[in-house]
Amino acid sequence: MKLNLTILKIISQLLDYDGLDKSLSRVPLQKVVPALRLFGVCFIILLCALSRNAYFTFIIIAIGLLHLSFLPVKDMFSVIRMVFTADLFSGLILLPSVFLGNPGTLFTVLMKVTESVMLLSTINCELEWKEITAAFRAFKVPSIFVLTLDMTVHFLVILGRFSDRLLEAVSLRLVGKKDWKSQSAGDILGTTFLKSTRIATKTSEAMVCRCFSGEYRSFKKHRFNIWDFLYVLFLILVFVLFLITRR
Amino acid sequence: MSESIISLKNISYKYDDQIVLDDISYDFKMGKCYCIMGPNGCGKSTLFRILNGLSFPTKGEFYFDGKLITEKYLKDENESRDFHKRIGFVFQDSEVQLFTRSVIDEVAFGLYQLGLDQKEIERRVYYYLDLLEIRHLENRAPFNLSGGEKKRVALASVFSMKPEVLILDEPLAGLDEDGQEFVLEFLKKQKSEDRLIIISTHNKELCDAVSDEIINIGKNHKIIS
Repeated sequence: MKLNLTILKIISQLLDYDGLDKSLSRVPLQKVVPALRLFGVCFIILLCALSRNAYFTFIIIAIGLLHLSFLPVKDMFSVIRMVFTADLFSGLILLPSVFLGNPGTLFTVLMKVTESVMLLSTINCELEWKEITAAFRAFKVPSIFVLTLDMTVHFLVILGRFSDRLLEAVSLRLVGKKDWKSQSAGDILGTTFLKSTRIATKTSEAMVCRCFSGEYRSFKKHRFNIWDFLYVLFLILVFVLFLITRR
Repeated sequence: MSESIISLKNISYKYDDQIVLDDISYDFKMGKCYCIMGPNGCGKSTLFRILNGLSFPTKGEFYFDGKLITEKYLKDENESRDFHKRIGFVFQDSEVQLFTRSVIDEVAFGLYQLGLDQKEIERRVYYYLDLLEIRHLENRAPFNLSGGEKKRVALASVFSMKPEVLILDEPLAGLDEDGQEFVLEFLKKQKSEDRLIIISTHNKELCDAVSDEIINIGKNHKIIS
């Protein structure tokens, strides 16, 4: 049951906001093309990793928190929870360094972990999975890889729903029996596996029927807008700040 | 009288010694709409797989536009591409046919494979989204649609490729009354002189409304009328 709840939770996250035009409700930073934002986040994380000055990381965290304050409360909590979890684990692992006389290491690593996890969690909250996979094409990731990612999400949803229905059917037929889990878990997994094989075969046939030749493109093209320009400017400023604080 | 584009000559298909199709011979002509009827398990879906080059008969010959279609013939990438370009197949279960990230990408997918220019792709995509009344769904993920909506997306993605031959496996299965009526009207409008449509169905109303000829396959896996 717990496994199915987890699957359904993942599915509900994937389906969250699907199809809603978020462009109207988006804060300016969210109007930037996803590929550029993905690049920007990786670029800033790289600069923070290279930086030896705590001020630079502090400023990035401050900017990150400022941006976070524009997000809905639900997203804010989600990001903060991720940051705290990552910090907790990193802190525990690095705790011996404090007793060995290097308390600075703990502080530096925690700062960088906070900054990286915050930026990645924020982008994860703001962009839909479709936008992220589409953004990979801009980085020249092979289209077959992007198609595989999209199809993985597709199959995850279909098989998640299927296994949930199976679980419901088993629960209904085994009224009052408490040890059904051990008996039926294998059956459910086996049936889901067979279903996945059948769907995969049918889908590959459907692709053949539509002349699939390895071409997989996004129909909608993003036009460079003022927000993209401002974001590039922001990245340049971050780089300049990195150089200044490096001295 | 128009020439037959698909010709089946004494087709048989066996699966583990079990007969699925037995000595099927038929000529399908351009400009006509054929409905294939028969009980469950009579071999309709296998026949459709053969017509789409997804399975190959254990006996007999399948000719498409005068060319003998065999496994070896379709192993050639160019021949396979040309063949599938001319035949469109709408699966019974639309869910397995839709696999891209959004409805609009789904409709455009086949058009990109055909190597059409972007303007023509845009024209066709929006034309078929409007024709099937699914433009408002363009940004939705296909797996998140209702059964009727998925069927419309599947129809749009196949019809937009403008194949000469259209094969539809149970197009009304799993649709509500409104959905059935919509698909029925759509298919009526799609009949034309330069197109062959083959439909597998249990629905008599659909047969009466669109078919020029009805082919009945019996429980003995042979054409009975």
